[in-house]
Amino acid sequence: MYKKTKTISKVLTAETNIQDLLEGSVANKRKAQEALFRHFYGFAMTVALRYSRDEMDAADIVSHAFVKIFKSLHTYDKTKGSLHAWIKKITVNEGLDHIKSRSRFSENVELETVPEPEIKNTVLEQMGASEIMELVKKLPPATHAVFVLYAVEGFNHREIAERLSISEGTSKWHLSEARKTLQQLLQHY
Amino acid sequence: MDQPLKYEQVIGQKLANLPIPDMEDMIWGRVKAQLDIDMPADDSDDDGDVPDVPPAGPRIKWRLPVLILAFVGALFFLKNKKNPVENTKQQPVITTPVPANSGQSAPPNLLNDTGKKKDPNSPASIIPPAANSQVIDSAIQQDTNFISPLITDTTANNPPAIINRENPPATTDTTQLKKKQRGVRDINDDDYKLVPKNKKDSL
Repeated sequence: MYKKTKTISKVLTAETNIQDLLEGSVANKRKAQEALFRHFYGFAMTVALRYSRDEMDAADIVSHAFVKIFKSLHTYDKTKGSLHAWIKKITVNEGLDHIKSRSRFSENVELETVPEPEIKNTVLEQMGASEIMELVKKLPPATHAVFVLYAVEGFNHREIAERLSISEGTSKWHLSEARKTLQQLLQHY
Repeated sequence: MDQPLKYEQVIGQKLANLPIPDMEDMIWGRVKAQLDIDMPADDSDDDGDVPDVPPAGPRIKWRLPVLILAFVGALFFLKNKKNPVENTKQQPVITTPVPANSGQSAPPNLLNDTGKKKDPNSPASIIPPAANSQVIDSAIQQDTNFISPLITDTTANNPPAIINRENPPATTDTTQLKKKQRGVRDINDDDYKLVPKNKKDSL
């Protein structure tokens, strides 16, 4: 274990340039791929945790995402965006596929015109990230996905509808459901 | 509804700072295993610091089935080699009486000992064309056609061999080149002729 860590750190210090890691990974060199994985592991895991119920789910999402990343790394074009954005896009898609595999996005929903629930920021600001994540995990999977895509990733309803192959109305309904549920849950704090 | 609310922005900021579980090595192990299947690497950039998979591992994967196949093949070969010997040793020999004037037709491809086509109505025995059948000619047996007591396996699938007793195969006796003389040497037939010395005529 110590030897391995030492080797990786040696690789990272010697090849500080991400471009070298990219070229090595495209050339299917395991050492370069491992160094690239360890470099982006924290970032990808943070994204995956938002779409998962627990750490094992997140591990599945990250492992599948990195397999796809290494398989399609030769198609990455740095002129179209940063490597972070490219890895995040693949990880989010993998997370959404993970949610789709265990739940269905209902299409026939009616959006009720209800007033937006009031949630005090002071309560949320006192909570830690893990506590907030536990609240979000209590949402139904499809509602959870829409809420994270909207509130955390910053997508609008049209983009969410395209990604999840649902209508914009369904996306809005899921967001409304998420807000109501979170308000109820936060009343206990 | 199209703009994130204030509390949603707070949630988004908080979720960006989630603690990362220490599963890096485990996840890399999975990724590497999948990559080894989907995109096998030659790992030419090894520097020797990280122990790799022993080279004997993958070789055993294909060597073991080859060895098993070779062993099975050898067993099969030996078994096949042994069986013909056993068949010739345990071949049941049966001679069955054939009626002299039986109207049963013989197989058209039957040949007699001399290789000529034989009359199917002749009282000859039939030799089946089985290649591994044996014909035993025993001088002890007096009957021309008999059932041999050498039958040991009645369940054998091989057809019984039928002995031809009337037309035994021609054999040459190399020990009798000269005809043996009869009688005692230097004695001929005249020596046995009795002639009365005093011929008297009673008349």
